[in-house]
Amino acid sequence: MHWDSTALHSNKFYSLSAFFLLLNLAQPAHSQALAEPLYKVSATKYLLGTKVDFIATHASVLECKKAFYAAFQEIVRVGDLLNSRKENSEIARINHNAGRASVHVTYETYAIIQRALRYAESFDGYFDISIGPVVAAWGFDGDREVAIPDEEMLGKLIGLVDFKSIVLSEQDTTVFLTQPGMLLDLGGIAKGYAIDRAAAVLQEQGVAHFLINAGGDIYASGYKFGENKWRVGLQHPRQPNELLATFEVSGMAVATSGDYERFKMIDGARYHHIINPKTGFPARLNQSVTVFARSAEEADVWATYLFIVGREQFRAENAYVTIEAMFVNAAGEVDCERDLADAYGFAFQLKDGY
Amino acid sequence: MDRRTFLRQMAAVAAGATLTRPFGAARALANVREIEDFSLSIITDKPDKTMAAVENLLQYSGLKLGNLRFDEALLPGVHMADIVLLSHNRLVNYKAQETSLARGVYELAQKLELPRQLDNPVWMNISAGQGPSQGQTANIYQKNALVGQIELTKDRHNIAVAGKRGEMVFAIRAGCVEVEHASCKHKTCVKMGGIRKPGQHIVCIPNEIRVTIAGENALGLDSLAF
Repeated sequence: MHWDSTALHSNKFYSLSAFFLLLNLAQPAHSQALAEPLYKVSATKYLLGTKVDFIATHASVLECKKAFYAAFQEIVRVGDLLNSRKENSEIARINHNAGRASVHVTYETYAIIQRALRYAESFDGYFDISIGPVVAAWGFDGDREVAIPDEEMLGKLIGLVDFKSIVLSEQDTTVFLTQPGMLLDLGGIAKGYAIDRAAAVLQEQGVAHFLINAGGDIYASGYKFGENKWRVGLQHPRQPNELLATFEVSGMAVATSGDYERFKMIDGARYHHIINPKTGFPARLNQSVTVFARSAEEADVWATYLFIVGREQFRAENAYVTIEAMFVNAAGEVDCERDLADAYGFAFQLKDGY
Repeated sequence: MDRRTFLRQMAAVAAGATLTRPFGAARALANVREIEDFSLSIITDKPDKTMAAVENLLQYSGLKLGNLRFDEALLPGVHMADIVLLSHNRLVNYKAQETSLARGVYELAQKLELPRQLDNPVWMNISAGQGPSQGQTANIYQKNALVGQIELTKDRHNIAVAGKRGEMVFAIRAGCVEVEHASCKHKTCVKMGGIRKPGQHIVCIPNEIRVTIAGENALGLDSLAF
């Protein structure tokens, strides 16, 4: 691990960190009357093709469970709306009509596609929700065997990956994929959005202090107990039972993209599920990228993008970013700004601990 | 199952220990006055009603209660439902003690007509204080049902658990629980290797099975990012 010394002199990073610190301090800690005990309640469900955990501290277990139920329902709803593999989901209907017809969708679906296209635009196509055909060819889109696709076929499929061929009409909220065979895959954004929606529902239901973990992506709100923030361990990218680091968050989303979540070793090389939209092959610059952002959607998208383009690109464009990131590069070296570590109480756990 | 066996098993469940390990309850009855470190385990078919009563009971117990942990799981099959109160990992004879909590627990047991046999009841636990920290038991959940508890101290093989899509087979080797076989294609859980520390878990998403090591994580972690 090495600290980047040049970044210490970067005003941008100092001010960014100060911004996050201020936001964290601005949230009042909940005082606890001893007469009213707080319960730490947790629940787990298998949704969005992953495990979703809720943990909350609340004065009433029953109220908390009711809120959990509503928030789980919200995740189911969002999942059904955006899952391309679910028959008759809005995304499935858009895909089914690729090259044929524009499809009317709810404003919610329309808006998330619109946001995805804005990300695609500003990330120069390195984040692209039209990656569907390539992901399917690799076999990463379900409980299937992963295999290296035929080169010629991959060449053809990569031609279908082009966010500029997604045509939106705001007036009647329709989406049209102009090329036959195009497939939308919202894998890089849907989970983050679902987490944000679940967080909103919990807050509406009066649960203010909670942590949502959906397949390793996290949104933490409020405090665990007193002024203790939520304490999170970050899995080591090469040692599944070890932690790389621990950190503390409140009012913050954390998403990690890693080459170890879904992968297959073929002839000694690691083939994983984060595909570079420009090459059609798994991105190779990093083992993992962890992003801290105000919303889980933002964290999710940025983690996917930065995993593909790497640390140097991030440094080149950090003038406008509203997020912070930690990289574990292909050689396994940890790279992040020192003030990021300060802001989140980073403690690196090299071996043991967990 | 007689009442004594039941108490021993429930005490063990509450302590995060194994179902079959003998529990020294008879030797050491805790004084309920030290109750700010306690664990209340209830097997019931009316979880909501029970929890409402417990919340009420604790609020008016006169105890200085700050932070409590709540856990629950379905228990598939026929189980003897009852209430077990532990303090500092020792069994409390709530029928004999005169504190408001002990009395409240006794009244709750009467109201719920416990003990009695129930089909597919819910196990719930409310605990305060340190709680168990030993990682000697692995709890196996399918969806939200507690389908098995395995002691980590003895090597074992071929512990099969039925999942949503197929079977998962666990083994205990050198104090670790590991997946020997999984019916899914990507084998993420097999690649994970063995776990042994409290708070660690192995998850099989396609089968909706998770295995956790009982107890509080040593680093006080609430969640794992990956």
